[in-house]
Amino acid sequence: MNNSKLTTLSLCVEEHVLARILPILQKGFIIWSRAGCSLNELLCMQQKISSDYIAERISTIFLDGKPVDDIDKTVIHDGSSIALSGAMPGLVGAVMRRGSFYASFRDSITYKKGPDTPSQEKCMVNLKFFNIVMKELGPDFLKKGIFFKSSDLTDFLTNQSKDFWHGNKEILLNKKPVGYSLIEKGEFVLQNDLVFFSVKVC
Amino acid sequence: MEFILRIDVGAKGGPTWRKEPLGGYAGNGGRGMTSLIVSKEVPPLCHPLGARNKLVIAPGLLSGTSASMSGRISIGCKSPLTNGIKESNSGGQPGQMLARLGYAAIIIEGKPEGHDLYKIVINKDEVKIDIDNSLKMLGNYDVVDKMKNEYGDKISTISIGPAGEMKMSAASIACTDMELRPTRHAGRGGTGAVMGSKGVKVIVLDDTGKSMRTPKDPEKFKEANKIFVKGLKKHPVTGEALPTYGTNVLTNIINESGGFPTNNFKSGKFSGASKISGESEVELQTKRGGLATHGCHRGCVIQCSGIYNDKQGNFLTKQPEYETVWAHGANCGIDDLDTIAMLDRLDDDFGLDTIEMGAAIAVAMEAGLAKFGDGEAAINFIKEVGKGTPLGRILGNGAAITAKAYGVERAPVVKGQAMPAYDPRAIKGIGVTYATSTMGADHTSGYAIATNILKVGGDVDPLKTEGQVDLSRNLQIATAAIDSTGMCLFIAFAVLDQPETFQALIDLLNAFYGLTLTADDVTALGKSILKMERKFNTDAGFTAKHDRLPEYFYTEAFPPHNVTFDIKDEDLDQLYNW
Ligand code: SF4
Repeated sequence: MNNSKLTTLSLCVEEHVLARILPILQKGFIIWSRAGCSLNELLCMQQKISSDYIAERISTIFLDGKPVDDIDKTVIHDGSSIALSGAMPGLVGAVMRRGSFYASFRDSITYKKGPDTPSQEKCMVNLKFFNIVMKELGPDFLKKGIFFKSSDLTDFLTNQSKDFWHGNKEILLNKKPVGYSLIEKGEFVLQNDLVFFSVKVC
Repeated sequence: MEFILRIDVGAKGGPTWRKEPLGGYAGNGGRGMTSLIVSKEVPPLCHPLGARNKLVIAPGLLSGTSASMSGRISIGCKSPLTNGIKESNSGGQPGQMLARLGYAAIIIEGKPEGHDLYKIVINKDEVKIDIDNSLKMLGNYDVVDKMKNEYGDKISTISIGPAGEMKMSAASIACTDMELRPTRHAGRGGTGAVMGSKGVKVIVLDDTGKSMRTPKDPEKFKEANKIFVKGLKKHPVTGEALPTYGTNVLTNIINESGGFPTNNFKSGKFSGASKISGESEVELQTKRGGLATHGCHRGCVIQCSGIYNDKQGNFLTKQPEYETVWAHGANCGIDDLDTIAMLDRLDDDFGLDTIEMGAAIAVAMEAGLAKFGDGEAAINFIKEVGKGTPLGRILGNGAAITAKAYGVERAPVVKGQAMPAYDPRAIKGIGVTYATSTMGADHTSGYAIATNILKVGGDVDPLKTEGQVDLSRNLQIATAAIDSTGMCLFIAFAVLDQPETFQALIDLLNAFYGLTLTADDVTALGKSILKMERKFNTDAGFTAKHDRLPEYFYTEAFPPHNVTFDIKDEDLDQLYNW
């Protein structure tokens, strides 16, 4: 990461606005990890998601579009895309669950561990939150701040209506207060690859 | 539910009706009832739109009781889309009302002379059948409004739109919801065309003066219902995911898995998925003053539905379900929820199956009639169907006919019926169900229920690929049984994971009817339904060759996983060997 290219954007919003921001987490945000580490390590140790929460609430996980059964045997690499979801309806929802009784239905796309590629290299991972995970973990992650691709964030923010912006009490761009018209037009980050985005309710 | 209402629309001098005792049909409900009647009374080789086909409407075994989730209504006939047996079920209020009025089934038979349209009104005192040609070519919304004006707002209705009157194979039958809107449909297989062929536009039900059906053992029934509801509420799917996001919560997941058919089943990932996902849909609905959690009938505790308002905050349609969002969204390359909601509204009004229409439009797009992603063109296509233009009549007869008319090879159909929202190359087990179901390609034919509890057809090793045929068989058997109870299939998730919830379901049946059913009996019921349906199809000319996916699913690699459907024919042929 090149910090000189980093833009920071902090929003201080009314409660109802937070609910409207959460869906951005479906497209994913950027985290850094260590290539070769297990998914369990990434989620528990690095992202500080409790193992109880993972066991009880995150029943559906994908790595690079492949349904995952065992997070200890799932290995992260540079450019990995991880999606976390609660238990899903429908037969296919049940099929996608970790360790599903119906796992054979998706045998040809299930994640299977390849040969070990131990590495200590720092790597960039895209993490997506869906449904209840988005709702439950999203607010904390946003409060701490997370990195987004500038194109994803501008795409999201430029599509918001006036009432969304009226629910913003304070907007800090690179730590300086700004009006929403600048952000609304998406003219604030285009030259940068990543934006550090944080949202708190106040 | 001690009677059958038999209506002969072909009788000399106009339609006649008679109330019959249940006789040999006693003890059946829902799909068990419709498939039994169709098997016994409809000649398998008859023309689906002819006098010898019958339309059977049956509430489930528990419909009309105070059991939660028990409002499904089954509609059966020989399908004009598949030419095989059909059971299509719907939510809404009519299931409960018909059961409370004492009818275990309505059988509409014969064929009227001339082109008059009939309105059937059923209340506690009488059955009235009148000609009402003022209803001709009205959309379902207008039909319901007229009925409301005539009979008040305590009614529910079962109706067809213009598509049913024009006897299109994608025509659905609409059932009204709690707000008396025609938003719930027996969508699949062209049941609406059969109702249209009988000249029946609308059935008005009024259960005023009738009360809930009473169980043989009220105490046990109450207790079982309590456990059942508790089980539904505590399960993360039925207690959280479905009430919060509706079925469209699946969009992100299926898209992530690479099994989300996009642009007429060309790839499994849609770049606009997050714009049409359940999460985004709920956010939009809430912002516009709609509702994200709503039941389609009284007594539903899961409440997977919702209210979708337009940009001005006015009601447009119910929350489009996952299958609709996929069919009119990703499958047509459309990533705009308002366009999808408008298509849903038009489908409901004209009386069309959203899955079949989404598939037909995608085939038309592949044929070059419009570009994938062109929402305006999709809306115009549906309007053509509503008007019955030549193009509209092609589209309204489904994906297979559209493909034939425009010389498109890639028609995602089995037995003439369009596949739903899961690609069978990525999720092969569902492909087994698509291929072998008696209903044509249908995801709900082999839904999710406790095969691990039921052990239908012996133990299955779910981790073995070979186990997929066994699992699909078990699911199809168990689903047939659930479809007979009148219970919404979405209970299956809680029943799947929680043995005590499954037991509560059996206890509800036992306490209501004074029976001592076991899980084995439930299995036996499901098996007997499938056997009947299979026999009907065999007698209608179906062979093992019809239990296959279209050729391109075996030869065209499906990105991003680049997989093909490779379950062997010999294995598929084992499905009915039990
Ligand atoms: S869960 Fe959904 S489909 Fe089932 S009865 Fe309730 S609202 Fe209707």
